[in-house]
Amino acid sequence: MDLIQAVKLYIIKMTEDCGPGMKVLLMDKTTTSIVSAVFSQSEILQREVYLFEQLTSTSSSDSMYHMKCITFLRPTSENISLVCKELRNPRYGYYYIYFSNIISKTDIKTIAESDIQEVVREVQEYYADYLAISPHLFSLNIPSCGQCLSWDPLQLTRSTQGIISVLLSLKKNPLIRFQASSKMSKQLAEKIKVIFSKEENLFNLKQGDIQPQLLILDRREDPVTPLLMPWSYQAMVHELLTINNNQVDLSHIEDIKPDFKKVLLCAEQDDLYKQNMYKNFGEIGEIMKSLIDDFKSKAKNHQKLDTISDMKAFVENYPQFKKMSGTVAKHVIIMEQLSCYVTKKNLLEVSELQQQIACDIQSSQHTQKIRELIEKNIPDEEASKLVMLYALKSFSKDSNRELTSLIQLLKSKKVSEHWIELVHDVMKFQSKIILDNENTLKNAKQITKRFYKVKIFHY
Amino acid sequence: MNEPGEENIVLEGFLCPICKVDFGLDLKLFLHFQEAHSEDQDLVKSFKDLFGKAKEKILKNDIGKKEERHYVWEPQEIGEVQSHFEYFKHCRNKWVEHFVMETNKTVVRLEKLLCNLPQDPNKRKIHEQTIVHWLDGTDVTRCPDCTKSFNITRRQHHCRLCGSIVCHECSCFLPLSKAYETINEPGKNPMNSIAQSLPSFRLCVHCGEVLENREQTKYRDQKPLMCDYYDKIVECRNKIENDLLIKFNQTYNLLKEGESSYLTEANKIRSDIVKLAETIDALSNRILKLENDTNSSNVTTKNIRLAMIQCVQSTVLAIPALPSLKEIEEIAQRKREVAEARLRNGQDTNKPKMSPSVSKRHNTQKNEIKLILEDGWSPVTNANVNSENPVVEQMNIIKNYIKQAKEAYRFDEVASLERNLQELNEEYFKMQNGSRNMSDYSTKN
Ligand SMILES: [Zn+2]
Ligand SMILES: [Zn+2]
Ligand SMILES: [Zn+2]
Repeated sequence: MDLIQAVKLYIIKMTEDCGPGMKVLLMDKTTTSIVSAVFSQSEILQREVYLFEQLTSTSSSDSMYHMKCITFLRPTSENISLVCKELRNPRYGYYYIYFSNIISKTDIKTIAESDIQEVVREVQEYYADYLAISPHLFSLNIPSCGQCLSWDPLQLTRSTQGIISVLLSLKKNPLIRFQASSKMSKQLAEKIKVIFSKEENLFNLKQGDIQPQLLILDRREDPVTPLLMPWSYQAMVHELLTINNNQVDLSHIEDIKPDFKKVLLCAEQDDLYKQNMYKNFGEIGEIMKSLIDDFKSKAKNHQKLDTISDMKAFVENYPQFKKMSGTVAKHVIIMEQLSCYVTKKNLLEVSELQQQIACDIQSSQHTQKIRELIEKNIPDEEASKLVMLYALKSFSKDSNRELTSLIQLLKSKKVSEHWIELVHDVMKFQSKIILDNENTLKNAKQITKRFYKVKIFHY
Repeated sequence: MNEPGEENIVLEGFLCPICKVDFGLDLKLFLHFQEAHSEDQDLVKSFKDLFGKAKEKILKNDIGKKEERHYVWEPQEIGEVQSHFEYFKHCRNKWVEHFVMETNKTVVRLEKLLCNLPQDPNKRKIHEQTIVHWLDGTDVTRCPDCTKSFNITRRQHHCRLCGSIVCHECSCFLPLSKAYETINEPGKNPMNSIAQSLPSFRLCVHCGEVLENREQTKYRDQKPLMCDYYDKIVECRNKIENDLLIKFNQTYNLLKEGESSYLTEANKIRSDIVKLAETIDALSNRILKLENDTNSSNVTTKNIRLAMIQCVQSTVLAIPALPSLKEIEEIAQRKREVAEARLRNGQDTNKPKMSPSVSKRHNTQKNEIKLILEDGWSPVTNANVNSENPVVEQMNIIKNYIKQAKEAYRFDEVASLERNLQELNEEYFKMQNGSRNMSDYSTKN
């Protein structure tokens, strides 16, 4: 059950369905990122796809009747009318149309009635309606799915469609379980359930002995974890440098080589990354060091390689090394950036205190330590995150007074208004939770939740 | 199979994650969890020390040799699909029939209009009106297409093909020359040059579209020069991938077994592949150099070129250099020596024949291996054969271990030993590069 593989298989099938010949891939904005998340350009070129086009109202009018057109779109009403327009004046020889999700009969009829020249050869649903980020992780690229603790109806639909397509692409008909304390989880579960019963035939799947489970959890149930500093490689890169569609933007680094302004971090194409993305920072440093040491011994060089900057210098001084292992060079640069941030932001100390606050309910010593760190001029976001953590973890009456004085300290350190507002938001959120639940009940839930997490990984 | 309806029950409430009983209340679940699943409480406790250890690791880099966890993904088949093509065709056929009828009607009218078309404007108007009934415009106050009302500046016009009323903006013109082309009688127009100067037919947008569509389909079968080149490229690729590469690998393996007589043939196949790869390279370069009138064609030709460069590179990588005649003869010589040694030892009465057929050779190999095991070849008795290579010796020892382990039903050990053997095998292949006596050991037993 590999999500990347699932999307790949669909796209490979598309290129096979239309037989040999030159092909163009006509997509929308979303399907373009779905395809590019799993296929490199050279891979798709070898499948005879030589042109990539986005279907928009301003598409070019260049006609190429000798090409077969694989049309891969989300079934939105906008796309339906664009396809109709395309078919009334077809630019390509034949059309093989694939929708990434369930499409209504009415829409099929509308498209059919636009195909007067009879150029359509295939109309199918191929459920690749999600961005496969890694074999077990997908995203729908929704920046924000709700407002004021309830669903944005558009995003609720998109999320439902996304999950439905994941299930169909993996051929799973699961039992739905959701976090009952969350209204949003419940709404999503119900929406999915409606589709299960509406599309009974589609979900009439062969199942193994054990019925899979779909677990819907509300991320807000655990506001603590996102505030903690992660130390595994991929998570750190995302936290400190941000990974966007498998890309890391390094253009902000001074005198960075043009090749490394934007680097691709894709486990599918980078074995070093694939093997180490979940290892922790220290381990990665060690691995990098041994990789370079290995080369060094071959090159009979006696440079010292004790720090990551040494490593960087070494890599830069060895053009042939760079050529031999461009990937290593890329990771060395990223590691250097990470270690630079760790020092600059005092992250080891910050992280240690974060963990202490997160685990320890007695908060008396914490405020002092938070104060000390803020005095050391740690960055705005780290300072505010510590105060937020404290707000989430302290329940006594004293803590309110402490919080007020901590916020005062933040203000005196000229922490930006945006962060102070976030601290207030977290406090409001926390007081609501305290109203909703008694402490003991909350603990029980956390145990359950921890167990849920373990289950997710198995799935 | 289960009823899908029943399967999809949405469970909710305070369920115990282990026994899935609903406890109704957080607190009850908490208590149940403490009583019934106390072993899982370790999870909670262990969390506290976690960071201490992690920090140590981060700082001191003390990585033990811990077991690597590798997820092995099961082989996967394509997900669900649903085709709508049958329904699509059903809808399309109905519509296309209707449309074809309409097109035919329009073309027939056009034919009638063009037949004996008078040149005089007034006579022409009467002719047009006798063929197509013009709609009476007295009650039409708005253009049916754009719904703008008619007045002195927006006058009524009649479509010459269907007689309907439209405004100027919602009409188009069909030049007479094009009209003759449409009814497939461009030669029948006697006054071609005069016809150019004659006024065109005014048509409504609908009739214009019908004729336009008919025109378009005529050009659909035209193929640019690029296609010819591309078809040739595909032909070359198929020849390489489905024929020559397979033949090359077969003869290459024979050479590696000391069959020097195949050297000429192998050389020929190799040069054929290289020639075809060069052709692909040249053709794709020609495609790249073609004059393109559109941006899309430019992108396409560039991508074809890119794909073909990749293809040529991987093809060339797939055909290694051939061994020299001397090297092949050395292999053959070694093989002969081994065979003689075996004869002397009286171990092998069944001298393997030099058969060109690869499959046959596999059979003999298997027989030999059987002999080895049944005769209880031990590393000691075969010292003369194996001493030339310590890897072979090691492999024999491991084979022996595997046999013993199997007898003792220690299958986990069998598995790990077999992995070892596999590694040694690969190592040996690399070292010996195809000598005959090695292939005695190449099949795992
Ligand atoms: Zn239980
Ligand atoms: Zn009009
Ligand atoms: Zn008309």
